Amino acid sequence: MEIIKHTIRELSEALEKGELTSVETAKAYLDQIKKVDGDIHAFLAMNKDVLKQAEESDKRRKAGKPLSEFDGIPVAIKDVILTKGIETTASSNMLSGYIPLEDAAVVRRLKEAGMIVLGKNNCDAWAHGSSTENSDFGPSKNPHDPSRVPGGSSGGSAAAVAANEAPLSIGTDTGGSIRQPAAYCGVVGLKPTYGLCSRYGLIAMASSLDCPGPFTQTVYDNAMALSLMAGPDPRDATSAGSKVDDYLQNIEGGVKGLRIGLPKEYFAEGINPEVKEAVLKSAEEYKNLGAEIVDISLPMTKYGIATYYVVQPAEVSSNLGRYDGIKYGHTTKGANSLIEHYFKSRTEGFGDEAKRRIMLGTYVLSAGYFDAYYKKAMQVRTLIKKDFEEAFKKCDVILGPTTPTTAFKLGAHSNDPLAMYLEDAYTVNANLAGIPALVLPCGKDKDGLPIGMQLMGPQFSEALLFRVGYAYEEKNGKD
Amino acid sequence: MAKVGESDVRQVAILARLEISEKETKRYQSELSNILNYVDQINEAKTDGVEATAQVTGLKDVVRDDLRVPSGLSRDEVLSNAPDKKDGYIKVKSVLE
Repeated sequence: MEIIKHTIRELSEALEKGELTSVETAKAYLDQIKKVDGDIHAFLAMNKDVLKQAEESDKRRKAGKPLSEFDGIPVAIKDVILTKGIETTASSNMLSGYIPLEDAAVVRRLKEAGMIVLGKNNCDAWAHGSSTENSDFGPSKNPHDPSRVPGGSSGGSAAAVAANEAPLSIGTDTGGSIRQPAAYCGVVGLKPTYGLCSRYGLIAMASSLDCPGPFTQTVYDNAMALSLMAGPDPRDATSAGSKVDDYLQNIEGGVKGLRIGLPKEYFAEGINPEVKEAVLKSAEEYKNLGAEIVDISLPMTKYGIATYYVVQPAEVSSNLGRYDGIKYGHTTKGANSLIEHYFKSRTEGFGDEAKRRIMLGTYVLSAGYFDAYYKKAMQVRTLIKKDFEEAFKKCDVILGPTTPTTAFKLGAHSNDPLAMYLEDAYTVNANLAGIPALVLPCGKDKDGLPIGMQLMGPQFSEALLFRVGYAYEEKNGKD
Repeated sequence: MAKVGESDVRQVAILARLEISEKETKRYQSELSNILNYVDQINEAKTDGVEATAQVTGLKDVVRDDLRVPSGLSRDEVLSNAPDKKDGYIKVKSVLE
């Protein structure tokens, strides 16, 4: 089998047995990137030391001292996650040329296991968007059909795994930014429980919602990757790393006797019939595997996007306040005073969507509107969280679609911000409630475009989600 | 009727430290109004006596020991991304005229 078709599990085994070297592996992925990335555009900056680091990994293995079973396996990192010495821009001109001085906590953990960073994945600027069309460096393309978007914001990350440019990529999910592109590109993506993976070193979008998580070809690989990423971090005060579980131990446990809930709100108006059919078919398969399918209701679902589009821009406007063109980032050449320097640097450096969210967030937080919008949204957020808590009394996991449709054409939503925002209708609620959600492929539409199902569980139930996802994948094979 | 007035847009832009043209003012007025009209549906939800959720972890008052933690970075490294610097300091425009 071609090296680049290997799963992480297979690569790890081949490297351990000495059937493959890290240098061969790295070269195979670099060749594939050279071959396809002109069309896909999943990558921005590349790590110039990949082969040198692969040689070092081979030396460690030869000496019988690998850093872990993953030593020498390549990984790609979304451009909103800091990588020491490799340009990191959040796909925005504001940070063009920015070279981080240290790695994000999740990157550090992967590197401590010996993994090798290939380069940075394109995304919507500041992770604002659902298509990567909002990248200041041009969109990524869907490997299944280059006239379509890969989804977003972590579109480059999903496309990189789908196009075999990396066996693993790390994205971030604030309202669906891992799950929607995973569904559109036909790969496995996890939004972990909020706090399970440290946010330290993420270019913050909305701090109460941001979660880094892995993209892989298989559910098993995803569980392996999360095992490396999850863990406590004293530099992230919301880190809940002590709740890390063993994600592989019971992954083959099957679904017999599990209650899988189908929320009626996720199958109502607006969903494409082919997507609905594919997800309901997977529910049928779970039933055949011994699970009990139960109908549930999440009545607060309808308020998800509205709540999210208060909370998220509010936090965005606050987080993007730090870009003043002084310590780092774009700086204006045309200012005569400090205040003018702020205005001009920010106006020149931020793109349209970032400005729109800063404006919206500043508005809802400003005097006179705070209670009507922000406080109200935080209260509805409580109701959304409780909605899930009630649902999980009736079922163990929730199964639904990830997106209302399959991948749309480039340019389809570009003139309508609200239409783009509605892309996240089935995904934002997991972020608002802080629960984990796993997306895996469950078929294709008539145009051959992937459809992804979404499994949601209570906080810190990742091991259970992997078990349920794995049961489906084992039955149906990957893809 | 537009929900957000032009003067609101101008005021918000000042708070956010963004320069916006007349054309952009009109565009933001329309875009923000559309989004907020959509957002208004949260008012249908009954929230009397419901506590606000600012974060979902359940963690409270996470503190660390009050100790100095060295960054391990040199002054030059710390300044390496600063666009304008002089004699080991970041240079800014004068604050007072």
